[in-house]
Amino acid sequence: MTTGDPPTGHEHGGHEHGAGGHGTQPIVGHHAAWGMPAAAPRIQPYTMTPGSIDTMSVRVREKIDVLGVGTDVVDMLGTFTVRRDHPCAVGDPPRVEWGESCVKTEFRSLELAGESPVFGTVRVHLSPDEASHGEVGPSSDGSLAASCVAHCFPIVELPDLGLRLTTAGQPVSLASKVIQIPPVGDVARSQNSAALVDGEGNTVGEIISSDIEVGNLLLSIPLGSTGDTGATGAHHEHGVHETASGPYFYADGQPAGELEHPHVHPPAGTVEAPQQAPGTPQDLTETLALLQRELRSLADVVGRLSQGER
Amino acid sequence: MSVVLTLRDSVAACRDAYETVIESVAGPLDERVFGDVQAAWRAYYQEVFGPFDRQLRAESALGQVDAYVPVSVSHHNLERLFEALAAELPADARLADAPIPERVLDLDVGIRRLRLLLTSRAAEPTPFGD
Repeated sequence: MTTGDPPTGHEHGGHEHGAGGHGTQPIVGHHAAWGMPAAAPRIQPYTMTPGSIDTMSVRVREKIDVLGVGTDVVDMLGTFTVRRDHPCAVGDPPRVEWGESCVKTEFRSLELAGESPVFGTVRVHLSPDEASHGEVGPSSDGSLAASCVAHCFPIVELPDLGLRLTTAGQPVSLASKVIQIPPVGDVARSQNSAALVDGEGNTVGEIISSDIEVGNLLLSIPLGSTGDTGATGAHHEHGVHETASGPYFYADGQPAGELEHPHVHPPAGTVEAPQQAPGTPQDLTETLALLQRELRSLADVVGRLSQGER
Repeated sequence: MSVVLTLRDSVAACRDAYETVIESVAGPLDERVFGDVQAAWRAYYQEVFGPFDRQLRAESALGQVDAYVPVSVSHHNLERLFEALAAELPADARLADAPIPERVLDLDVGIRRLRLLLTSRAAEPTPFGD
């Protein structure tokens, strides 16, 4: 491609100005920067998919009461990122199939912002002191929808009131019924209220309810070989969370092909993720080599520009 | 001889049967007894939507069914809303007594919007030939 060509936004196998190696893709801006519709990954319903780290848009309606200030229903927009493990079988015989499996999840981030006529700006994010986690479990009551639960520990910031409030270790538990993972279009609703506590431990308010619309999948990075190694040789126990980040949840990076455990890893690629993370040591080596070449090329360009300025 | 229904046929069956749910919320929703609305919904959800959902799952393994996935997602979202309301409200209570009135608004909008979705999916030809 020359500089006179129209941008496609996604050139493959080439590079400009002689920099980089074969297969390098230029960084020239997202599809949206070129006026093209973004390529959303397709999600297959009723299908257990390999674990990944998903970032999704979200809209949250939270009913908040602050003592002495008032109650308001606050509409907030934002994003959240969730790490979901590879699915595990919970039935007998164990089969990784929709409706007979579970997927453990851990919320890595939640960033919400909204405006309230009562509170002013409202920001919500996850407490770093607690692991917000959840699970997509088997279907129930003859329904094909899987039961999805999440236990989140939010921090509510009301900067106009000078308040930063936690739920003091009490989770807001959310539940929904999903037919696809990631759960695009899902609506999760809280099952409990939670007291809001200030930095001194005083109860100053309450999250009365939370209702959540899951929006588009913005980014999905497959876990690759970082799935559960099953080192303990046990099944995930559906509905039990010893710790969200405990030995069942994270892996030590052993390649999936060498595992001997009851977790069956479905074939990769079931979800057409927008990006593929390097999955093997060879992939990583190649990626690092490409990055090194790109950096050398960039250094050359910077050097030439510096000389030109002089 | 058995008749093979397409997904669009099944959505049309849902659309027709869904009128019982619409009838259950006729008039001001606040005045409705929650248990009556829930009973109409449960009968429809299990007896009419359930078979559609099973057909959708079966056909999703064979080809693209994207046009019908929202039908299923919306039904299950509404079912979850009924579940949430049932945890807050006795069956013989009026919807006006719901402690979280925002969810009654959700119910009102959700029930009516689902009717529109069913009508559109039952009427529109899809690129999948059914």
